[in-house]
Amino acid sequence: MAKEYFHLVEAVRLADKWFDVSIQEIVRQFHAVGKLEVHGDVDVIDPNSGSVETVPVRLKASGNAEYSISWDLALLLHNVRIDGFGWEGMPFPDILKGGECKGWHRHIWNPATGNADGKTCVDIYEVPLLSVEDFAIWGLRAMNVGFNRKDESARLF
Amino acid sequence: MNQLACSEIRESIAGLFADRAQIAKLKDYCVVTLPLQTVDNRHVSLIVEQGIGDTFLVHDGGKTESALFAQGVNVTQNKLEYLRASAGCYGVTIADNHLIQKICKLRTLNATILEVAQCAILTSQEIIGHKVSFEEENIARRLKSVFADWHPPFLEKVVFQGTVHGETATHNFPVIAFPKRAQQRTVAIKVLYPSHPQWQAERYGFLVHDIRSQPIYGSWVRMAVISRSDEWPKKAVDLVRNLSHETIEIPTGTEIEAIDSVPSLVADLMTNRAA
Repeated sequence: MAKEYFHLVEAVRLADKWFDVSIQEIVRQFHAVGKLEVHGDVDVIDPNSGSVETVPVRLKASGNAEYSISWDLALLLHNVRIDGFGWEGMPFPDILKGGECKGWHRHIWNPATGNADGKTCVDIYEVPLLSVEDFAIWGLRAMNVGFNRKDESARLF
Repeated sequence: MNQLACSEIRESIAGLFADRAQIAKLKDYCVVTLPLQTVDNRHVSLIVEQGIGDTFLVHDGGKTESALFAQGVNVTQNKLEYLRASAGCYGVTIADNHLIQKICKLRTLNATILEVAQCAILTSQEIIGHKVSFEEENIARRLKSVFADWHPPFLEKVVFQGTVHGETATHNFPVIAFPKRAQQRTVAIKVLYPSHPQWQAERYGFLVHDIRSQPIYGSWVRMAVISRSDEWPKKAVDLVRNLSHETIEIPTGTEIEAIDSVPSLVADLMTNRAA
C-alpha cells in the first residue's frame, strides 16, 4: 500500500535533497526537449511517529531554452508541486511579503489547497540577463537541491 | 439596456485591457501579458516576434506546456492531437516544440494575439485532469523493495543502482539480478519514465548500443520497465521493445501490481535460458 506524505511537505522543502543529474544535463535537456524529470528520495523525520521516512520526490525542469518566461523548476510530491520557481508577467499578490509584484517568483505550499499555488517574488536577474544555467543553479540551491557534480551524460553526446 | 450603458461597458472593457495589459521588451521580442486568466491560475503571456517586413510570429514561448508539466501534468500524444485540432479552429498551430503559435501580418496582429491567447487558455484546461498520485511513486524504489525480499535458489545476488561501463559512457541500472550458474543469464532492469518518451527511448537505445559490444554486458538480458506507458507514443514504445529482451508496460495506476510481478518474469528469463 502506497503511503501518503503530504503532512511532511515542510520537512521535505527544508531538507537537503539530492538528484542524480548534473547542471549540464539540465541545460542540455532545456535545449533538446524542454523537459526534464528526475526521481529521487529524501529522508525526513515524521513528527507524528518520530521515525525517519524516505519520501519519494521528483524534480522537474521545463521550458523553451530560447524564451526565459517559459522556464519552470518544480519539486513534486505525489505528482503535486510542493516547491518551485516560475515567471509571470501580471502582478500577483505576494503571500509572504505582502503587496503585489510580478516576474520571477517562488511557489509557496498552501496546506489549504494542497498545492504550491501561493507565490512570493524572488530576487533574481532580470530576464534578458538570465541563462538557463544560472536559473537552474539558482533555483536548485534555493530549494536545497543538490545535484551531480560529475556530468556523466556528457559522453552521450 | 440603453445605448449609454453599452458604451460604458465598451469603455470599461477597453479600460481594463489598457490598464492591466503588460508589455515588456526582452532581447529582440516583446512579451505581452493579457488580463486573461488560464485554467491553472496564471495570466496569459505571449511573445511577439517580428519577422521579415510586416510579418509577425505570436506564440506562448512554450510557457503553457511548461507550466502544466511543472504541476504534474503530462500532455500525452493523444491529448496533443486533440489540442492541435482545437487550436486549428482558430488557425493556430501547436508546433513540434509545443509552442502555441500563429504567423500574421501587422493588420491582424491584435486578433492573432487574442487567438493564440485563447488557445493557451484552452490548453491550460489540461490541469483539470490532473491527479494526485500515490501509486506512481518511484518505480525504482518499489522494484528495490520487491527484489530485496526475493531469494530464489538460482539467484546469486541482486545489485541495486548497478553501474556498467559501456564503450563510451557509464550507465546505471536500478536492478541487476545475477544467477548462481554461469549457464544462466544476468538480467538488468531499466526503468523508463514518461518525461519526453521519444527522447527517453533514444537515450535507452544509446545505452543498449553502448553496452552491447562489451564482453560481459553484451550477454545480459535487458528488461525495460516503461512507466505510465499510456502516455508514450507507439513509436517510442516500439523502439524500446526492439532493444529489449523483455518490456513491461505499466499504465498509470497499475504500478504496484505490475512491479510485484517482475521477479517471476526475471526468474523465467534467467532459468529459461539455462543450458
